Amino acid sequence: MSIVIEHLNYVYMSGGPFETQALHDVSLTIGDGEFIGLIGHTGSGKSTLVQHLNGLLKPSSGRITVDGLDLADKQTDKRAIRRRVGLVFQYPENQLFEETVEKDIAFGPRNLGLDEAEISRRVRDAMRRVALDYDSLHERSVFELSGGQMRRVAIAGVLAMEPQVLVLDEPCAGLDPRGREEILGLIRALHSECGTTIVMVSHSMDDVASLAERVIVMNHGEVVMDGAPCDVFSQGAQLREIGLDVPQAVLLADKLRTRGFDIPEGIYRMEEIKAAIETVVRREERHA
Amino acid sequence: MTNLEENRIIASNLSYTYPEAERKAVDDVSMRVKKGEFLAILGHNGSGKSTLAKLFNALYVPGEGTVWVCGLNTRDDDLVFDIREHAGMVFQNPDNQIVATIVEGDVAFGLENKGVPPEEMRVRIDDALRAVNMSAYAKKAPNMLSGGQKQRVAIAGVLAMKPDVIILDESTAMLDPSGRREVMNTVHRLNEEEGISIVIITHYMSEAATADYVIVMDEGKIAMSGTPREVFTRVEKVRALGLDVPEMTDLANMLRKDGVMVRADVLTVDEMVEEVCRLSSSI
Repeated sequence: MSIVIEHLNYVYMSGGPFETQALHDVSLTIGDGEFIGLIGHTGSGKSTLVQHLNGLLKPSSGRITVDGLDLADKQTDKRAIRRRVGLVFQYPENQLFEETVEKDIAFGPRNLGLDEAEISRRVRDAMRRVALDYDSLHERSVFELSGGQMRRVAIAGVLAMEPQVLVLDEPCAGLDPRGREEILGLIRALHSECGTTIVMVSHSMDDVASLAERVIVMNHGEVVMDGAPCDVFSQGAQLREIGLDVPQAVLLADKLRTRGFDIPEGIYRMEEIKAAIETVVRREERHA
Repeated sequence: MTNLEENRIIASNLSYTYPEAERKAVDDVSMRVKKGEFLAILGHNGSGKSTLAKLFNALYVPGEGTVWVCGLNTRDDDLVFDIREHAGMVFQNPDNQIVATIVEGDVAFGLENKGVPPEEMRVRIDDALRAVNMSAYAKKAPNMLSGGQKQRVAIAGVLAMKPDVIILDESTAMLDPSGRREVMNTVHRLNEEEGISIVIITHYMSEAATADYVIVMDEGKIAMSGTPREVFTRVEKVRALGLDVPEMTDLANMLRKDGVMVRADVLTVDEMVEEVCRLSSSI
């Protein structure tokens, strides 16, 4: 299942004095099973783009098809789209509203008209995937949970729709380091174990470097880079110019090269720079 | 207290319990913020670090113990506004702390409440906006600014009150990389050039690595404290407290496990570069 975006334009407050073109001629194909990191400074159009992926926003012009279904087509059942593409907003825990954890997670599946047995199976399955213990937590109030747990309940609510594509808008924002690790770990597992296509919006270049297989960079509503992490992160000067940064591993590799060390090109992960440093130091040892 | 001159904030056996909570959010904490110091407070969610910050500028009154801000006891109701002038606070969400329709109006808010004469107000607003590099935006609408710019306006609003301490409670959490850089560069400059003490509460270990001193909170108590080097070198302990170490410290730790003996207390990319150079040339 793929998402195809062709010449997408989106204008906020069209016709008014504050008219803003948030997306400008964006064309992309998101393939089955990809893990995409979507980066860009605040206001670059990332969140506007991801809200198009499940039909929350309608293109001002251009076309989006999800699994062959045209989002602009009035015949297209929006629920069919939302079953395929799950969207986790920024600070999704702010949208929790039900009395118990179980009811909140069950809300989406229930709206799909599923029977109780299937709803219950999905709730248990979603909770397992986000590492929340069903027996001890399902009857608890969501508002008694920690921040990290609340966020996992919110993600479970989207997972219970069993989407093939999961879009997450800054899923780790505001979490402490342990909470971040938990969320990143569950996203990694969804991708590797269930084959879920992931689109992750992030301000952390290091998180994107450690997870994504493809990086899309937005600036002023346009896609300005799209490629493998090693290719995108090798363009440090351009990234900094548009308010972004490179992973620390890339910065270190650059500085070591400047000092004359033989560090392979295209390094962007911590394990890679570690191996390169070990090679450099051991080579010197052999020469000595 | 004889050392009030050297300490901007003193907390002595400080405890605080939220209404109807079973456990103390802050539990018998004693610490200080020195004149001109750049202090980072770390801790997992719920460790008590934000509660501590709110006790520092009289948003909360201590349950037990005492907080002095520039010699003023935060229990004294009459001193609350004086205390907040001495210790200004910047919060996490830039959209929740801007009140006016143009940037300079927002910076003026605290001064108007205090009844500062118009001529002096003009000077203070201009100085404050200049200090955060936002003079060009004085007449702009805050809603047209980026997150980093909004946070710098919030800092200017605090700065106009001529504070001795600025407390930033996760003020970079919602910003993109350039916004974070702008805010961190701004507070470091205010610390170095104007001698203002800075207290940052953060989940970014790389930001804490730039502080003079680090305090790690856990279950309302101070679990670790020291220079960033002293704290982050204890990788296992930091991790056990639900935190992480700066990436370069982590890398140094992994290299050492493989027998590449870089220093264990590396904090920054530049320090790592120096260590690799040292190991290669000394062989």
